[in-house]
Amino acid sequence: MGLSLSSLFNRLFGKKNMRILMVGLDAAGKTTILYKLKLGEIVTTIPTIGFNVESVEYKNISFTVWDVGGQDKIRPLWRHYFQNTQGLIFVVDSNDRERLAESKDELTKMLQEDELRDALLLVFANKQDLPNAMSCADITTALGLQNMRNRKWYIQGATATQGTGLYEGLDWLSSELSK
Amino acid sequence: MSSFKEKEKAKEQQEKFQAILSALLKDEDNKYCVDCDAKGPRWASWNLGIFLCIRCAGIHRNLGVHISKVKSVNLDTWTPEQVSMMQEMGNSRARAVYEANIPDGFRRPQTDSALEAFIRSKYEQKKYIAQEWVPPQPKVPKELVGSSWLDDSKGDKKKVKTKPIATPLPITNLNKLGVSAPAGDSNKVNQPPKPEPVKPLVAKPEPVSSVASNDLLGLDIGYGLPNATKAAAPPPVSGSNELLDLFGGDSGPAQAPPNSDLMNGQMDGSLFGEDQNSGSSDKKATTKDSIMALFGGAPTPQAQMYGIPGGVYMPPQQQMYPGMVNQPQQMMGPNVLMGQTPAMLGPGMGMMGQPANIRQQAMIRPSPVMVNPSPLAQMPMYSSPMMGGNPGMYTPQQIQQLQFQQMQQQMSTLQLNPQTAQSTTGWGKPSSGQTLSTNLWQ
Repeated sequence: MGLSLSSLFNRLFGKKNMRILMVGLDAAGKTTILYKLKLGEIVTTIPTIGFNVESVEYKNISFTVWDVGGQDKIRPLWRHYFQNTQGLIFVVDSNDRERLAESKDELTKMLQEDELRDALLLVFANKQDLPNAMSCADITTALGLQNMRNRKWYIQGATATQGTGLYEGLDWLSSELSK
Repeated sequence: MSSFKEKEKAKEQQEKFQAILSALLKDEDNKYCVDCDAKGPRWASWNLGIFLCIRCAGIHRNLGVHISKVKSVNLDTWTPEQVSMMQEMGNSRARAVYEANIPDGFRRPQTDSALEAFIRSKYEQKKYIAQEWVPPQPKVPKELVGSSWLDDSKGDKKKVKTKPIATPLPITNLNKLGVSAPAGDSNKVNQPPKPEPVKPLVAKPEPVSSVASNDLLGLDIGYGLPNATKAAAPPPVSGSNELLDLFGGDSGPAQAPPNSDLMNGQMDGSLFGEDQNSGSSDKKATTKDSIMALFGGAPTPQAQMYGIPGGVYMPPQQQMYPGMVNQPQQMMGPNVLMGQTPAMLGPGMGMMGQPANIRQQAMIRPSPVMVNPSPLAQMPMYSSPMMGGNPGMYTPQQIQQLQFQQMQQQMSTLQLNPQTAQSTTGWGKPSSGQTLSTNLWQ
């Protein structure tokens, strides 16, 4: 009884927390997304060596978003952030068709990790504004998302520089979290 | 078994490329960022063939990969095409091309917004580009861009295999360079020689190629004989020599003429001269140590300023360490040592291997938290000063070592840091972001 009361209280007034890990190839737009969410502005970014982390409040959920650098040789560091990750945001540069296969490899590799077995997967198909951008459907196929078993995933087209699509992605995360 | 060999081979190849790149960076041409003159560039746009500082690299990434493909010299793996593209161009040549019609007395902007505007007008609108360059342009990158285009789809064997090699080249090429189709086409017809040398290379490796490293390996084979025996620490027949052979031997004639058409033959000559030089220096530079040694001398300031007023890059943003480092959760660390390591580096600040700077950042970090919770203005500034003081060239192993050093340093700093006490207490609190940390600090 007491338990259910407090959980009810939490549900109504308490803030939920969600630990999010945001990864993807270099120059996919992770840092831009992070700061667009955090500040609502477009910041001038430089390639991330190491990581950025911000908490983003949305829909009474506090998303703690870790944005980890995507350069080839520092990708092995991603795994050090896996622990307790509830949501994985995988950012893809929709315009970079040539490296989509590389993207897929990284994603596939990562999702095999035991620490991420329960993590929700949100894919941002970023840079949709660019002329040569691939559609979400194409990217879904290219990443092999449909073939994923035992994984809740969602793909969202986005243009970080305009802020489009970002909150839709968080909407999905939050709805999954409250399930 | 074979995959082990392949790994070995790929590793060697990468070391070779690193040596070539560090030799290139040592070159007078490439000691300063092509766009802002910052000292000691460590980034590159390989399709443009230029070396950049981290800040300009950030701006270049905003252009999109159809204009500029940015890579870190140290933190990315390179394909042969990408490396040879860098050898082909380099900063001074690129300036001759992309700044051919720059106004006299032009001062390179140093503020972020002005710099971005300059870079966009330079590469996106091609405002200052050499008129005569436009036609030949497709040719130079053609084979490089084209083949690396294949290469780039790493790990996707099917894609590579099934891809008709010849056709996509022109297309991507044109797209990337933004050259008008007709011009590109005519050029293609005119200068098939260059593409040819590479095509066979690409074609050969395909069947051999395997998984992630297929491009490297494959091309390795294509390149050559020297690598056939891989594990035997191939006597540093320097990569650049191989590349030279590639172009010079297989198709030397084809290669040189087109270039000299485009640009002054003089440059072309020097280009090859460099190659030779780098080649010879590479011979010594097989071990990582010697790579480092090689590169250690690189950033030594030299007189050549490309005739730019105010050319020497002052790190005017020395006060810049504030900013994004101030994220409260940053200190909470991902519970893992390694995970925390990058914290000191902060948001895309220094390179992995900058032990010297790390301490500095660590000391400085607390204050920004109070001073300025908004990463906005400062963020981009880190780069330049960092780059300036960042002479090392590190192999992955060294990076690892350095990470450990950093970790240790970080651990010591963490103890000074009141917030770290909570570092493991989880994710619950950070609700109010920076204000939280501000309070804590106060």
